[in-house]
Amino acid sequence: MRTLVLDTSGPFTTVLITEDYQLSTSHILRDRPAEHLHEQIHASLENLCITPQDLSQIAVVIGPGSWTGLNIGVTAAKTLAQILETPLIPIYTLDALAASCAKPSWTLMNAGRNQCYYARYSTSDSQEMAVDPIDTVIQQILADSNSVYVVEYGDTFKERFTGNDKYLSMDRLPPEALIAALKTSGSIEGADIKSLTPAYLQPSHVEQDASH
Amino acid sequence: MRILGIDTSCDDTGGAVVEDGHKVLSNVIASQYEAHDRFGGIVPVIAAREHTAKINFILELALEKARISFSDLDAVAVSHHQGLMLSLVVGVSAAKSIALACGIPLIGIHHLEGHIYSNLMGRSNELRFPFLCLTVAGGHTLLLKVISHGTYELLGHTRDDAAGEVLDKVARHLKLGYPGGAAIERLAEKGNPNAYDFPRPLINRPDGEFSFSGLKTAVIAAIDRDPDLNQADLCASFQQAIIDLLVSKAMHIAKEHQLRQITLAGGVALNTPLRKALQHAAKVHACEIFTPRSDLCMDNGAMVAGAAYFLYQERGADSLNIGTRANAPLGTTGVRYRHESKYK
Repeated sequence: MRTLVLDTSGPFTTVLITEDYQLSTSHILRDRPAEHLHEQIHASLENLCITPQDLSQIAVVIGPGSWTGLNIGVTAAKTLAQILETPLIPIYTLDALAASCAKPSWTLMNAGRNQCYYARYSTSDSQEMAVDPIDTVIQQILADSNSVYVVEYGDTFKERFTGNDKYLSMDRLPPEALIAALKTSGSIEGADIKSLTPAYLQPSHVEQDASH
Repeated sequence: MRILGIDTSCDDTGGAVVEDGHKVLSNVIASQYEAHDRFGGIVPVIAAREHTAKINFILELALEKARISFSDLDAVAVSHHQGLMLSLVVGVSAAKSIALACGIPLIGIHHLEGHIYSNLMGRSNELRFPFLCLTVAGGHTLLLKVISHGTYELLGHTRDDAAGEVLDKVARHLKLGYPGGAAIERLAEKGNPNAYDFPRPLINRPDGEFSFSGLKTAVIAAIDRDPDLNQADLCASFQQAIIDLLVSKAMHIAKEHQLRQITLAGGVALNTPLRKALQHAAKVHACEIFTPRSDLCMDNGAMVAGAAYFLYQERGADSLNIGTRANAPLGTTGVRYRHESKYK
C-alpha cells in the first residue's frame, strides 16, 4: 500500500511517499513551498518510477498550523484523492508531534495573539485538542511536566521550559512522526473527501475581533 | 478541446467546463456573500477558508453538469494572477492537482484576461483585432486595446476607485446589500436620473483616465445630509453619473484610436442602462458594441477556460510551479494598470 503524505502546516513543506508504512522517499521544501508543492510531488513519483495512479491513499496534515499553508495542502490532497478515488487520511499536527516521543506527553504550538494550541496524550488516548491563553496552558503543563514529555512545534515557549530535559522543540514534523501518526489516523472516503476542511481550531483573527 | 476553468480570485468559487473556447458545458459558482456580509466587505482569510471548503464540490458539480469526468478533460486552466493572494492559491492548488493526477496541461490565466475573453467566446469570427475593451468590475475600470491574442495596450484606467467598488460602497451605505451594482440598478429604475447633479470627474479631459472617488464622496455626503431622501432618485442620478463617465471616455478613446468595435467586460457589464447607453452612443459614432453573455460577466470559471483555449494555442502550457500574484502585469507587453508600487 503506497501513501503520499503532504505536510504544509509550517514553514517547511514535506512531501513523502511510504510503502506499507516504510519510507520510500522524502523531501523537504524550504523555499516557496506553495509554488513548488506539486512539482515536488511529481518529482517524488518520478524518482520511484511510479505514476499518481499507483498511489493507494493520500494523507495530509490538516492542522492546526499556517492558515494559508493548510488551505494549499488540504486542497491539493482532497483534489488528488477525489480524482484518483483513493481514501484520504487527515493527520493532526499535534498528533504527529506526540508520535515523535513516548507518552504521556503534552504537545503545543503558538496560535498567535497570546494563544496556544495544545493537547495532552496519556498512555492510552489523547485529550481533545484545544486553544487557550498561553499562560494558562503553560502553567497546566508545568504542574505536570516532571514526568512527561513536552513537544513544541516551533520554539516560542522554549525559555519557559529551560532546564526541562523532556522538552523538545521541532521546526517541522519529521518523516518518522508523520508515518507514526499515519498509522493511527482514520481515513475518510468517497463523498466525505470533498467536505474535509483544515483543523484551524479557531476563527480567523477578523472574526475573533468582531466577537469581542 | 475540453478545458476545466477555475476562478478563486476573490470571493466566488467558480468552476466550469468549456469546449473549444465557446461551448459552455457548465459554469457553476459558489457565492460567499453570507460569510462576508456582517463585515461590510470581503475578508481575505475568510474567503480563502470558504474556497477551501467549497472547491471540491464545485469541481464535481462542474463535471456533473457537463456530463463528463476528470478523464475526459484535455486541460485545466486557473486564474493565478490578479486577485486576493490567499484566495488565488486555493484554486491554483486544486488546478495543479488536476493537471498532475490527470496528466493534462496546466494553463495559468491572468484574471483580467478571463474578463477580456468573455467577449470572444462564441464571437471570435465577428470580433476582429484590434478592438477596444472596457472592463468595469469591483476591482477594475480600464480601457484596453486588444491588439492580438494575449497582447494589449493600456489606453485608460482609474486613478483611484474602480466603478464597481464605488457602486458597492454606496449600496452598502444605503444598506442595499451586495453586489451593489444590481441593487442600485433596481432602485434606479423608478428614479429620476436628473434629480441630483453629481460631479462627473475628469469627464472633459481628452483622455481615458477615470476618477470615481470624488463622485463617491459626493453621493455619500448627499445620503448623510438627508435621512429622508428619495433613494430611487439618488440611485438613478448616481448610476447616470457613472454611465456618463464610462460611455464618454470609451467613445473618446475609440474615436482617437480608430477602434470600431468596443467590448464591455466585468461585473458592471450586467448593468442594462449602461449597455443601452453604450449602444446608443455607438450608433452616433458608428461603432459596434459587444457585451458578454450575462453568465460570463461576474467572476466565473468559464471565462478562464475560454481565455485558456485561445491563449494555450499562443503560449502553450505552464509548468507545475507557476506562482500566484495579487497584481501582475497583463499580457505579452506587460501592461501595468495599477500604481507602480503594487507590482513590487
